[in-house]
Amino acid sequence: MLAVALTLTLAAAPAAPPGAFPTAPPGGAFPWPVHRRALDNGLGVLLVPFDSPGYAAYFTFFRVGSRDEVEPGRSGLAHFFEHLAYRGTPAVPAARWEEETKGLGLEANAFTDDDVTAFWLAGPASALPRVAELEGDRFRHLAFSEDDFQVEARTVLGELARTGGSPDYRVEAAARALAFGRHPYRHPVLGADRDVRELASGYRAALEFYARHYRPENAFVLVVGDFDEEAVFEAIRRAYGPWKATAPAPPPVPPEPPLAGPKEARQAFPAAALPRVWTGWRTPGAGDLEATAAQLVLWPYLFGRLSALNRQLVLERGLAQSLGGEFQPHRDPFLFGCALVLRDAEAEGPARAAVDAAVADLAAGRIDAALLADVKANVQSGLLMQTDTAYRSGVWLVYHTALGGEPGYLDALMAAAARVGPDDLAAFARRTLVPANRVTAILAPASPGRGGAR
Amino acid sequence: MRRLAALLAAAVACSHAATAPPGGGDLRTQAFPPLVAAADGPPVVAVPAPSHPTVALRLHFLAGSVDDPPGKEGLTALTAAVMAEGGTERLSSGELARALYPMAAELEVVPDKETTVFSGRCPRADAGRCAALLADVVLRPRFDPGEFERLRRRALDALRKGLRAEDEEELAKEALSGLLFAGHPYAHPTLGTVEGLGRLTLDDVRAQWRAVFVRSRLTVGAAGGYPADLPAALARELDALPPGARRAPLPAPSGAGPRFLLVETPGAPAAISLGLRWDVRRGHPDFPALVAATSALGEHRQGAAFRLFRELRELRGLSYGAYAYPEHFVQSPGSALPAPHHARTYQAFTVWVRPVEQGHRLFALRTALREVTRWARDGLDEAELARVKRFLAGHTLALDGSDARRLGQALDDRFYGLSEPWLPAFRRRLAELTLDDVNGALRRHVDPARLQVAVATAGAAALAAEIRAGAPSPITYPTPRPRAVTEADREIAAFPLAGEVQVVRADALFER
Repeated sequence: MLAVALTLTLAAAPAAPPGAFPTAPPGGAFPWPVHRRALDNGLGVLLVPFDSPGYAAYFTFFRVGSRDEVEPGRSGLAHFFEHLAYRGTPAVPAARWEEETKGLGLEANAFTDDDVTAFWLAGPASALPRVAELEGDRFRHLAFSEDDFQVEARTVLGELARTGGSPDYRVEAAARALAFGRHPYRHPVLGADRDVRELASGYRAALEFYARHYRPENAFVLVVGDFDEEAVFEAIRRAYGPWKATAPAPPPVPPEPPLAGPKEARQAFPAAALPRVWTGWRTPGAGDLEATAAQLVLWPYLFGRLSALNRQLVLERGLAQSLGGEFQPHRDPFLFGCALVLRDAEAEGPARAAVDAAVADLAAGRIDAALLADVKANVQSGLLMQTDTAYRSGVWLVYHTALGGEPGYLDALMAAAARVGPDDLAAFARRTLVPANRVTAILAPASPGRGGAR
Repeated sequence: MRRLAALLAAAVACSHAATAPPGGGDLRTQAFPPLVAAADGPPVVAVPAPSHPTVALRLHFLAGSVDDPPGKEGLTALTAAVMAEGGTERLSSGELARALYPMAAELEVVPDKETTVFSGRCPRADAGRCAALLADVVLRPRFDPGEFERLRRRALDALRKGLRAEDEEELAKEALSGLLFAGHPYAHPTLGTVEGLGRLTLDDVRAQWRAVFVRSRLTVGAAGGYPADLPAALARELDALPPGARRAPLPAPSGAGPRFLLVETPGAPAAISLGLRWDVRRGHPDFPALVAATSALGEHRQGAAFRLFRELRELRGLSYGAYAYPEHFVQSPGSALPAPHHARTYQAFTVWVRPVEQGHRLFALRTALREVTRWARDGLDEAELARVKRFLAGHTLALDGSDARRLGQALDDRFYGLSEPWLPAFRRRLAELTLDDVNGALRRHVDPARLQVAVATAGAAALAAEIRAGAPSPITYPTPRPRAVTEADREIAAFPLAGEVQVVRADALFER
């Protein structure tokens, strides 16, 4: 069956219907053209010509992440699928996939986040037609046995052991658990510890998760690099065109009721690490473009290297070793805040007071206009600096397209960020950065004499 | 919440690669010949790409932690940090950061054993301003007492809190490095030691700046869309550095510590690193063969087409991964590719096993040791070598796949004194490699009996007892494994472990 080749570039995109996800007019901040097409099974195709002679990065990404793990006790499945997707198909078993992609000189990997799961290969552009065949086959015919499932469950436990034990991970996990009661943002992307330990029992749940979320209308293929667009699109059409969804669409993600904060939790950490404080607010999701743009600018203004807080806490008073984190837009209301690595336990009170004072200044309209101008310049220059390779440019598009299914969202967001003024930030602070939305998690080493090496 | 930043941070993964297919030659290198000029100032390595929207600049010094005076370990890295982050005569630390910020420019220092690189990157329109700031931090550092103390404290915390308490994997790697280079100027961490850093004064830092960040040790580098006259202008400005003197050649490492160093840590999972020193590096005739052989054993962050990953993760689910390295390896942030500017005269072959659950640590260690032993003893076969050659022919395209990477390669080539640049030479040699070349090189350079092992784990004393007893460490799985796996498992479980075992507490490492 012939797929409909709906060929249009962003410049030629029709006006979004009322209520659609925010997108942008042409000529935006993303420095490379994005040529958008679609197959008639709903698969989105994004082709991005990029100055990388003979070289390309190829992504297949799904609008599914830990956000979609709604079944109690089954968190971690989205990330687990990142692993299972390398278990092969009847036509191309795992070992052959590995051998063939490596034989083509391709680097291959994947990443999972709250709202997106992406699989990528990068290497010689001459390999793209075969890459499309391999990837189309992989996502249409993924076959993993219960045995594979058990082996991968053990591997994911190893990954949890690798990252899940760090104090930075722990304090962020604690903040999530405080901020959300029902919404799956409640757990880290890897999953709640106990769920990850029980992954091996979830074979049936995993099959259902795959059928519901790994479907063409929930997926995009993105190619960034130096390639013949028509030939590559034709290869994608052949490889993914026959793909049909085999299960009903997934259930909606449960909305989260108002936080009724402030909320605070304190945990002991067994090792001799520095104390951590994660403090922030629950804030609107990406569908609220103006609020998202405000957060994009406000995060570096409040918590970045040049912020008054960083100067005060890290450089001048030495209360904190670092002020970390970042703002990342999410599909649903998420968290906006910072992770403090404190000098010692005594620094907690004054450091938290300094954060509160900085937000009070903001809400009162006391804003450093010169710093705001520099922050806004940095946000725009930062996109240019971080889209210097095919892969990095692709990652920007993957993340921002996954939010609403619109690649134009990135340009819309950057344009909105360029419009943000001091009054917008003050109004955002008064409306959103309020005690009712406040979440604070503290992680401090266990008292001396308990735990540690002997 | 940090995933996007982590994916993007300074990654220079995969653009601007060759027009040739894998293994098809070195067209790109011919298209962008590094220009090495030495007019009236320090030598310049330039990799122009006038249409590119960003610019990379490097001030590369032959100065590193081997220049730390005894008892003052950490002095060179701290000096470089004070220079790069502590402000200049004209700009305080905060003002320097502020000047870079609107252009989203990067100004970093890359410290290592023998080299220190001051690295800048910015949009093309800002190249002049960025270059001026880079020159300023090297020529006119501020030496602010407050900044000195902040950065010294940060280095101490990175050792005491970070390395010892929060990162078992880096701890095991650093412990292995200390084992392999015991008694050598490489032995202490580049960052320093607790006692060394504790002794340092601002006067020490000022004196080290004058002693090692000197003209005779400097090469200037530029790549990307910079204005044509910028590299020479930068070199002329840096001609104002004192001439100084180059370092005397380093002694060859000769130390021999225990075979097993077990580091007691609070965290439960076990991190394992193992390796041996070898007398090869870029430019040695056997090195290309050993790079190919090591790739077959465990290409970094690649999958089950490579032996260690297949044995430890794919077949047995013991670990997130396991990889092997033919030379010192530091991963570029946000990519799986090696970061440039970590060239070293003396190299080691190493294996990194990602964390293993405590109950399987001895089995995992035996699996890795057995695999390395089989690899060294039996070598590769024709099919495996052909596969690895095809992979490397494509994969190495990414290694000089951006302006910053091409510049990094060219500067590393200068360090190694190569008459022919390493990557094109490697690609050419790769195509010619025979099984005899590869397996012969393995026999000449890898004696598994010389492998040394560092494990960071809770319950190190119990592991030491198990190793000394040499008792079998069988494994069970929740579901049946193929017969070939269970048969191999019997051999692995009883794989002999001989040699001295030493146990240390994490907080006793890197003390002096």
